[in-house]
Amino acid sequence: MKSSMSKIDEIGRREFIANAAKTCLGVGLMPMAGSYIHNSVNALIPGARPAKARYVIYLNMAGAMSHLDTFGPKPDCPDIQGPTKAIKTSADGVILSENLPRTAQHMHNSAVIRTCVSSQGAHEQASYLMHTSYLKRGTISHPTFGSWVAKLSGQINRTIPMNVRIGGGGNLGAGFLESKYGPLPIGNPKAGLANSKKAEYLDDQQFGNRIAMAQNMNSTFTGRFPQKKVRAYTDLYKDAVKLMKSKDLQAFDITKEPEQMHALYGDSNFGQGCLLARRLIENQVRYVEVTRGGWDTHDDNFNRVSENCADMDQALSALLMDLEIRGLLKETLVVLTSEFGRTPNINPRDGRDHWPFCFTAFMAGGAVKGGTVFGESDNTGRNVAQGKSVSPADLNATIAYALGLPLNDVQYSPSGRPFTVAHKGEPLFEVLA
Amino acid sequence: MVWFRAGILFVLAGFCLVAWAQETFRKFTTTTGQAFTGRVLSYEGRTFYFQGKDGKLYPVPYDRLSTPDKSYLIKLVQEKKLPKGKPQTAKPPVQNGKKDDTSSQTGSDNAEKLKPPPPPKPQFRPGSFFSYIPVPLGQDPAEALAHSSTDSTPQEVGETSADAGGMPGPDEPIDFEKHLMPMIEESCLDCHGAPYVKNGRTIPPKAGLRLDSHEWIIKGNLDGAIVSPGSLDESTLYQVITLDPDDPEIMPPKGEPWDDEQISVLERWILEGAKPRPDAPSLATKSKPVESKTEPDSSVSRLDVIGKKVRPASRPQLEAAMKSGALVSPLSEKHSLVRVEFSSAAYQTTDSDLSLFSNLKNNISHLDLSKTKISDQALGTVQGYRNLVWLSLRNTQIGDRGLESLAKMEELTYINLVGTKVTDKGLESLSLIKSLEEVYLWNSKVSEKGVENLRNTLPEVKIIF
Repeated sequence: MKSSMSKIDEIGRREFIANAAKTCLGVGLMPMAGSYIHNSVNALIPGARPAKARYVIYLNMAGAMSHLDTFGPKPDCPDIQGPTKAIKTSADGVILSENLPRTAQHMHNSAVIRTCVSSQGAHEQASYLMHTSYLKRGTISHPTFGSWVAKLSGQINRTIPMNVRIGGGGNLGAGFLESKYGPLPIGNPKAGLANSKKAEYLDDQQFGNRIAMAQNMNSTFTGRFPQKKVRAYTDLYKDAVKLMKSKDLQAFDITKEPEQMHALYGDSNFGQGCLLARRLIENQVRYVEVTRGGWDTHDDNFNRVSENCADMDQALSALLMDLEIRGLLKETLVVLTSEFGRTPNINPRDGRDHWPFCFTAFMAGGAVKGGTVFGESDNTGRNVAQGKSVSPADLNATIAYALGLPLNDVQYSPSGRPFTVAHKGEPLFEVLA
Repeated sequence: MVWFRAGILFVLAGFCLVAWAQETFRKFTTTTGQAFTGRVLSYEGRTFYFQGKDGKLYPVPYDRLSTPDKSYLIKLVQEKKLPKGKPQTAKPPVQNGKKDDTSSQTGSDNAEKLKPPPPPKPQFRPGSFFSYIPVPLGQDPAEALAHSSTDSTPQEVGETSADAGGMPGPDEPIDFEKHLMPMIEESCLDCHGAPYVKNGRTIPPKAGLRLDSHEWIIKGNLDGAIVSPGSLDESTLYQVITLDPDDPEIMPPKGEPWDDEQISVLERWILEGAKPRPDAPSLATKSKPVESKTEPDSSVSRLDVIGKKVRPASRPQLEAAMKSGALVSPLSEKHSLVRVEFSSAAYQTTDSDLSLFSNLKNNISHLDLSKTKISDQALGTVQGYRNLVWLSLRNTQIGDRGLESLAKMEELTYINLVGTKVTDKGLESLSLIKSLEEVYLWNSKVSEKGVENLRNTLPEVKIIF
């Protein structure tokens, strides 16, 4: 509860608008959603190799999930393991903690990387590194991985954004890339895309008149300053209207889902976020990040982790099952990780502190070699013992490789500095099919 | 005395050429009206080698000769009276005597003028693309550098000229120097030869591309390699030569395009690994691991295998297909297979939109028709996409009748029938598709029993119900 990361609940309206204002050409008006879709390219950008996965659902366990009590249990070492037991999974020889009974049933479609290593041990910096593959610097704002995906792969569905972030999780955006590639923030998955519907008291005629009038009033200005930013501003309105009238807007509305679906994912914010993520993937949104906070368990670790796991496990397993029955898991990569892990030593308050030296990441989906465990920590769970260390850049490079993105494609910041999608990380071929 | 010795040498030189019937001396004229007397010994590419009265050897470009001379030479070549390649035996008189100076002044003044200027030794500034000597893969750099420093072209051609230029037998491996190089020399080297200095300026080969030796062909130019051993689709050299004759990009840009026989030599050479010599072991071992590396991931390499069989779709073709509102994109850069998806336009898409893909039907490997308004008849069109691997009909009105058309698909591995009207009867058609690996049937009208039957007929297939 000490860190700001644990307070990631619904974004307030003002905050939402401020967020959008930052990322949208410096304007903070209602139709912010439009800026994410305007000026869409006419063709997809073919990747460097045929893509095994086309969509990513990135489940961000903000606050740093205890890897020992979830995906990397150490049952032979009771001193560090505490009361948490390990269970068998659907994949031979792979064990998970007892907190994840349902996810264990999907292990044959999934892979666990047990040697993730981050160089940062503070939430904000580590989260930045995890999301961008670069260290946080005062001189530049790097694009999030989702923005890279959007930039390098292109938009499939022309009427809704390519990159969506559900449930908070920081305010990182497109960085130096164009703002349209940045994540569209959705605070409360149940509310859907806020303020995107046409007001009920307006009929089509009136609405059209108002838009035409606004355009009329702007025409002198746009005529006098035919600049890119001015045009972009007009586009923003145009695309907001397009989205408003689009049938695809329903993708954001999880109330259209039947009752049993809601129940399957669980009533938690994270569960409903995953349900929304699945709806968005169904409508060909490229990259959806769903954040679940509350993992910063400096005290009372075991009770809090098992409580958190209850809805995380339910939502994750529901998501994997739901994607599978719809035939979407084949093309979707589901990744679950946090910015770092937690100490093997249990502190006097029955908690675990920050541990970036060896933690876990979970991957599932079409591009993943099912039932794989990569690497192992030493007996005390402290350091990497088997397999190479997997840095955030390596993890992102693995995802990028599965998506067929060109890992060596250089994008330049406005000051001319070169950047690549995963900061020269090396894909971990061992977990990819 | 001097004349006498020259005469003996001439006779000696004459004896060395007995392998081919000797042509008689005759007068040749050039397009510029100059004339000389000599006899033709052999030819190589578009250069004919003449022997003057003085016994010296004169290479003369074919194009500079007058029309009657040209037809005379063509006749000789067609009757196979002329050997190919530079005559080796005619050299001695040239190198021998100081008196050559005197003889040439009197005897062959004209012929002297026709001689092309000796190839200048170009000097390139350090760091220039051309100043690097290419070293082939798998060869010791020291050895390769020693080899190429002896300004290769004339000698190499001389060595192999005895049997150069013939067409290879059907089961004979292609010998680069013997079979391919003569053709390249004839068609390409005017523009893509070694750079030379003219009027104090360096004239580089066009597009910075040299084709005058195996190393240079493999090196390609600054845009990358032009030959990818084993793959025609990725070999730009093959692609530009096999373009449509009307295409502005075709190579060679002037003159006749390569005929089928010539193309087949190039094709075989690339497929055999683009080696400098037929049995060069170094390159053969290099190319093998690449092939085996793609084997483990079965689905992708399968796409690659299919992709290699298909001609890549051109940009206008893709753009024409996009008029339907669909996104049509190659699976990756340079891949000839394409993915077609109606995502934003799905709600307006009907059967007639599929007609726009008739030009692409062999290129389509992934087809996403989910949420469209297509009917069973559309699958009759889809049936013609014989390289279709992945088909999504999720949430459409497709029923059993439509699936009947798919029974003959040969490459289809993934079919998504979630939310369709398909019943157990449709599953019978599915059971005929032997290539299937994954079938998604959730939310359709099939029954437990129908799925059970399908599982029995296709036990290897993943069926999600």
